[in-house]
Amino acid sequence: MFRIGSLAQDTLDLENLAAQPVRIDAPEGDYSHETQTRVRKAGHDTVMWTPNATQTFNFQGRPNDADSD
Amino acid sequence: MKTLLITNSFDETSDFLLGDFAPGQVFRLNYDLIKDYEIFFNNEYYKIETPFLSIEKHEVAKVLWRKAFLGSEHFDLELTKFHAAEYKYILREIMNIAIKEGKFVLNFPDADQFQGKIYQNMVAKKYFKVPETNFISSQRSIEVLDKKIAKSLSSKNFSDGKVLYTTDISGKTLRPQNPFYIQEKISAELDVTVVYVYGKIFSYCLDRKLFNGLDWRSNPFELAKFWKEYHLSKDKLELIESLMSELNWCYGRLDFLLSGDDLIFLEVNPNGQWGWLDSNKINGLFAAIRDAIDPQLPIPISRLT
Repeated sequence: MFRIGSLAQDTLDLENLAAQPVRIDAPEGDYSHETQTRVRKAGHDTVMWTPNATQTFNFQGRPNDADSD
Repeated sequence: MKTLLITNSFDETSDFLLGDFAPGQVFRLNYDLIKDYEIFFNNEYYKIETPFLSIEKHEVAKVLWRKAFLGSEHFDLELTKFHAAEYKYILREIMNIAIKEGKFVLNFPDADQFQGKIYQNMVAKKYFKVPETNFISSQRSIEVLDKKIAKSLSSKNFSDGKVLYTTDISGKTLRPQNPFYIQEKISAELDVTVVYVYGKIFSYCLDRKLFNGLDWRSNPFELAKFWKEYHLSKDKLELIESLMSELNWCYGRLDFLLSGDDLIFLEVNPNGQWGWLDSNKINGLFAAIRDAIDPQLPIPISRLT
């Protein structure tokens, strides 16, 4: 249930609810077109997935992930 | 014959899949490294190649659109917005051709833009309990009088990189002119996620006592290892089949909450991630995906809305 038109001063917008996403280092090493995989250093822990808002960035380096997990 | 996999170079699920194929069976085309490829199209033909591998249109048995994103902040992409859009256009054309020729596997790009979360709820309520859901953008402030959560429809980031996880807004007052996607807050013992692959159903659960807050994705890498296989009854499997049939999708990751004996439907992601659910390739999910993209195997019957 909602009350429309509340007079409360302490209101929330969506940015108040936002949080920093969990970040994970991109796999170490260069991508190999020969193996078609990223060459990882020993000990790198493969994570198998990229949850939404994690690890995907636009061409200017800003996060950009319209394809949710 | 070959499978064309359209994704990005840091997609570790694709690394995981490619390890199961002989060299050359799958050609991986990474959007974030698109400038590395030789690409040639004309009105009948295309060829894409690297110094090591190539694929021509007549060799393509299947096309899988996974995660065609640009790269992370660790990569110097040197792509202008214009370049990025032009390259993305040609990737979509590859998919359009594959769709017309019946060669795409799993789902077509951006399938959720045709059947999004609100529409999914409208369909799913025939089969499952669905939380009471509202989308409200008002010129006046809104006081939330009972137990509600806010979440994101688009899964986009804010300009500062923050995201909106599922967040409790019970008792709060919401500022005008904000797009609030709101659902009733459900008390549940388990998160249940289901991967549907051409009629095969793989189901898993996560004990919600293992995390604080409402959204397990706020700590996904730690919690991923706690997901376990979960047995669904025959009637629930039939309901999932009915839902996916009505949505006309042959692949999806469906999220539910388990409250008592009830599965509460949350959403279907038609391009949802799955790698951590069968990271040891033992429960059949990996094999189902692998078989779907194997260029030597026939394409399962596709659904196309």
